[in-house]
Amino acid sequence: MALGLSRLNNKDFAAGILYIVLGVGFSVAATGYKLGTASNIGSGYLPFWMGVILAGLGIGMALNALRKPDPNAALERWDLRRMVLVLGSIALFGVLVKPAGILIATAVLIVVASLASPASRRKETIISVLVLSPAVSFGFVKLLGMPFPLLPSFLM
Amino acid sequence: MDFLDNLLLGFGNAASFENLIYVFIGCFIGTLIGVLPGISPLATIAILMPFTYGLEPLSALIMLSGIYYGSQYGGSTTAILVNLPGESSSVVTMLDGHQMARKGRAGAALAAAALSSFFAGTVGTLLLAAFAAPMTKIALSFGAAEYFALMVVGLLGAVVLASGSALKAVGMIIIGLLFGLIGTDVQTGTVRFTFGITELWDGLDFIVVAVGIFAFIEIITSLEAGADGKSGHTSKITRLWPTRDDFRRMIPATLRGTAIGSACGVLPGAGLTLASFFAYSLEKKTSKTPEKFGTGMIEGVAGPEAANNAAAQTGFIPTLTLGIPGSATMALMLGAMVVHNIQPGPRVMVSNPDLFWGLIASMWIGNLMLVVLNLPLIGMWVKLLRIPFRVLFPAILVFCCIGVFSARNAEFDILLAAGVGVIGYLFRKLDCEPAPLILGMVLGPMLEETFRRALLLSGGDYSVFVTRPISLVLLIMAALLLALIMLPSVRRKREIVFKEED
Repeated sequence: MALGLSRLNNKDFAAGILYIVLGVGFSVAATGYKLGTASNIGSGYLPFWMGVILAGLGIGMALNALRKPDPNAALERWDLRRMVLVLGSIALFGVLVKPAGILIATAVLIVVASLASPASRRKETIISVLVLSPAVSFGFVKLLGMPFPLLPSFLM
Repeated sequence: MDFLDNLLLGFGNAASFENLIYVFIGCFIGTLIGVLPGISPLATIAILMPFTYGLEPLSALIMLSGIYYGSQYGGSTTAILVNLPGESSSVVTMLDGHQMARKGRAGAALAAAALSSFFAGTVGTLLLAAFAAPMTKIALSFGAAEYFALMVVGLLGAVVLASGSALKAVGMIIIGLLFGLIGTDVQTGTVRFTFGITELWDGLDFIVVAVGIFAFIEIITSLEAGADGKSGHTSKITRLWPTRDDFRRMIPATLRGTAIGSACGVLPGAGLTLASFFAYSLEKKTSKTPEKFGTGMIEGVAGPEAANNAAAQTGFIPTLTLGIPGSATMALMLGAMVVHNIQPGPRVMVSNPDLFWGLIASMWIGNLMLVVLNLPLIGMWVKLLRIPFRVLFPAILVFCCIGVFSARNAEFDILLAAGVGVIGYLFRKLDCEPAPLILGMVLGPMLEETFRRALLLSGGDYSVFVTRPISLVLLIMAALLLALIMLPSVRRKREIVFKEED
């Protein structure tokens, strides 16, 4: 009972674990580079020790959280749908912009991102696409000369 | 008079037609971003920075700083009229500002905010100009060991006043430092932590991280908080000019706010939000009628507004003279200087005097423009507030993508930013502050270089950090800061401060 699951359901504990993982990860990776000597510090030296400090901090935080858990620090729910839609719309833009052109990539981004907001209205999204997509394409590609194709290559 | 000569040189450079336009664009965008809730000036600067890479260095820095201090003005407008903080630093302005607006005195509140901000901005700019030369002189005598120690103090100082758990924030700094070391080690040519991805050989661009961790996460968080559903109800503005009695009460509040803000700006990590918070509590303490605060006291608007604007200017002092940023926004400004091939640090003033003084002069011009932009054009900003967030955020995302791409002309960076967004969301859900991470990231390579150089010069003798007096004093300060964070009494106080701030 002393170490119930509820004690692990804590942001500080989870952050401690995250720091341990990152710290150990960076330190282990750093041993693959030269540590060097004190008068000639190698590429691995600073990352190795910073990783060690980070892992140490993480251990401290995790133990602290187990001993005296902050009652207000229960883990929050992830709003996966919103996160995936917003970040996904960005990733789609990155994937589409070269093959499909900036007009289509922008339109896809706006439509997918709008899905993340339950308040968005179809009409407003369509207007956004019709106004923003050509405006952005014209402004950045024609006026500022950015190296994006306007349309898919098979249409150009 | 060196001081006057320098200012004249600065005004000569800043007042060129082209640069005046960039001051204007910067202030305009800054006000716009400040007015619109849901996106911070930090994220805006990160998004827009790549677009300034093609400009002259002075023009680019002028515009970016305009966005920064301009957003402070804009934020107060939203706070007063809609009771939403446009920026976190205008949270306090809401308390009395919006009450004034509800009593039909929106105009007086807006004018009080704008005029006290202008006064504070002017004083802050003068302080920056006055302290630049002596600070630079001190900094020029610093060797590698002193610099290393100074960076440690700066980084830890940024944490003492950061909200939330200080240990967590120290961890975020270290993660930032490690992120900063990703890519090719310039000194040895070793490629570090790239996991075989060739695009990472040049390092992880700080723009990618800043946009991913701030802009994207701010948008997701605003959506989670339901910002897309709210519609702005704006108060009507009637009489704009404050009454004689208002002025009598405003002036001392503005003076006190300016003093507090100027001090907070120089301290690493104190920043604008804390400056305005301190100023508000001071006004409450010195007032004969503290119980009336929260019901529309003009002192509660003038003091904090003066404080956050003064802090916005004096925050440039450590950034420009020492090359040590006190906040994440200042870290981005340093990053911009590096991109323009200006090595930040005390040498900037000597090697690029026209840039240095031009930037300072432009800030005063910018503050003047902001009064003009804000008071007569207030109607236009109010209209902008009617654009709903659900329409706005996809447009912001489009700009994010194009900005991230144009930093290095790489589509890969857009995907990388989305990936950083996932990490940012994880940090956010664990209450890990992202600002110290950016600070660490920008300073990472510099920290490693000074550390290496100090040890190389001493022939591998670690005592170099404690035998040189300045370095020793700085490191003792760092140790004290660390001890301060750990003390339970300080920890409790910090929690109270931040509770009230929320």
